[in-house]
Amino acid sequence: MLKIKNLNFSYNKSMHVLKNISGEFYQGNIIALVGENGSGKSTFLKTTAAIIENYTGDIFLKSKNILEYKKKERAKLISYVPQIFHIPFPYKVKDLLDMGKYPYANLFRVNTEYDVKVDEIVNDFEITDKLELEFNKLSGGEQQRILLARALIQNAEIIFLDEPGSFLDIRHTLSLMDYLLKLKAENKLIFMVTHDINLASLYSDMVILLKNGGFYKTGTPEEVLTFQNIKAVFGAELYYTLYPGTKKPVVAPLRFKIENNK
Amino acid sequence: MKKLFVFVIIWFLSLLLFPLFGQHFINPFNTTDIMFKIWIETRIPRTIMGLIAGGNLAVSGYMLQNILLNSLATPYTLGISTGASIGVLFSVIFIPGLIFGEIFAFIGALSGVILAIFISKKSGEITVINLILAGIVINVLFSSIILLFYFFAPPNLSLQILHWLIGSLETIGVFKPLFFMCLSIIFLLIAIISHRELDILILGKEQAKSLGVDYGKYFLLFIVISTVLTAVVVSETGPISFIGLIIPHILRLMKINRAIEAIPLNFLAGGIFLTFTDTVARLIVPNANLPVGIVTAFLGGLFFLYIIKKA
Repeated sequence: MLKIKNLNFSYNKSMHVLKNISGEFYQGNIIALVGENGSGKSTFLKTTAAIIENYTGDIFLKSKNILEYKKKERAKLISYVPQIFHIPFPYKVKDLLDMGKYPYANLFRVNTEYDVKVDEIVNDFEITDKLELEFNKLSGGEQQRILLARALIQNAEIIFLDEPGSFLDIRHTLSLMDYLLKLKAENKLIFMVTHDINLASLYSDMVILLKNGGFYKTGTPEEVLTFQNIKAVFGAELYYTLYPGTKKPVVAPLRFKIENNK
Repeated sequence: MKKLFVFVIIWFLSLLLFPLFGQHFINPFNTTDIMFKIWIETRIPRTIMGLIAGGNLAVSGYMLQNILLNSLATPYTLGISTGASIGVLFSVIFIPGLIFGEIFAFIGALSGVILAIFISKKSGEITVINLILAGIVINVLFSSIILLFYFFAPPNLSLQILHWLIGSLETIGVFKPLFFMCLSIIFLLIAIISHRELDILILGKEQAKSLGVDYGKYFLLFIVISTVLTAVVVSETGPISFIGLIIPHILRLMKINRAIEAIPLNFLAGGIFLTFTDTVARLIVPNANLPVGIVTAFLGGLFFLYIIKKA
């Protein structure tokens, strides 16, 4: 589905943001990207989503170089949900959602082939009563749900999510993760940048641990999210245990140490 | 749809009624030959010119605000207006009597924008903020050149330049306004056809690209359209200020943001506003033929203050 070969990128000559990244990714997977701030997670997403184009190396999507796709055709295959952002004008929520149909629109109207059930998506993300409101006046969590809904309206096969849970409360986070599982069952490929090691561990099929712009470790959550790896990447010592039943790693802050020092 | 209907009606009323007012009121049912001639040869062309000028400046402002992600952007921001001004002054001073001196307005406006793009590219990637900064620099440079022209021009010419710099809708004959109207409508149609892209560009480069929009191509297209729309106006009327800022702003307060609505409505509202202020300018000081630029700036300023205070 998606194949990356020797990907390198730098914003300026002195600093390499992505270093020699290679990998192959297949449909029906949730892939979590985990790493410290500035480790290249977001840049990796933007590069692979063809938002950044001046990289070296090759990225193939369905065995065709992603830069060779027509822009609208590519947008039917790849959608990207940014971290929260501000728009400069008071557009309504429904206008923003409508933009998700852009790849399917010709000069005058939306293509008849397009058969996404927009109402269902709007319902799933609990934004039915927000359609007529101004996007800018909503809370961070609501805005995030709208951007996610728009990405699904775009109906791409690969979905890139940049910290999708960062503004969501726990219930909306969990319902988002359940939604991602549903998308995975529909054979989509989902990349998710997250700082939440537990979510990455419990919901993803594959974890990529990034360090200094390179893949430090890749594999299943059990293989990658070991106590040593987490310590090596984040430099943080955490309370570490295995989730009952599934035996997936989970972490929590280690408070005893601080209290013992008193 | 309802808003569009209302604006279209007011627009046509402006076209029909404003030409009746002036130094002498023209009674359409009881008119003399001379008055009829004035009506046809100066007042109607002047009103049409006002409708185009106001409309073009408002649409141009709306468009630049969208692509530059900044509600303070106007046709002045990228040096379009001042560039066009320099072009016109150049033709007035060095090639007097040229029939289509307007072509110099285009050259001037385009060179302003191209210089702005060039400067912002020199300082790295063309980003919105680089472009705005470059536009400000161009504006200052060009303004100083205009003042230089003004300073060294012989007295009769400098008066003409001043009058033109303030902005006035005076025009003679109906041919030029109609030609400009056609030209403007062609470019407005191109803009309306690209309405989806114009909306999506407010999300910025990354998001526009991820939705499949050819960002570079459309960014340039909208700059070219607003340059042409502005140059058409400035070549004939002089740089009338404020409309490109105030009209889009008022319409946004009326919840008109989406390009498909906003382009036609800005065009109509801008035209109505400018012809209205021009009529006021003609009536307020009898026999003075007050340039509309002064009244637009004054009325616009007051109205804007009221809006800001209320909102």
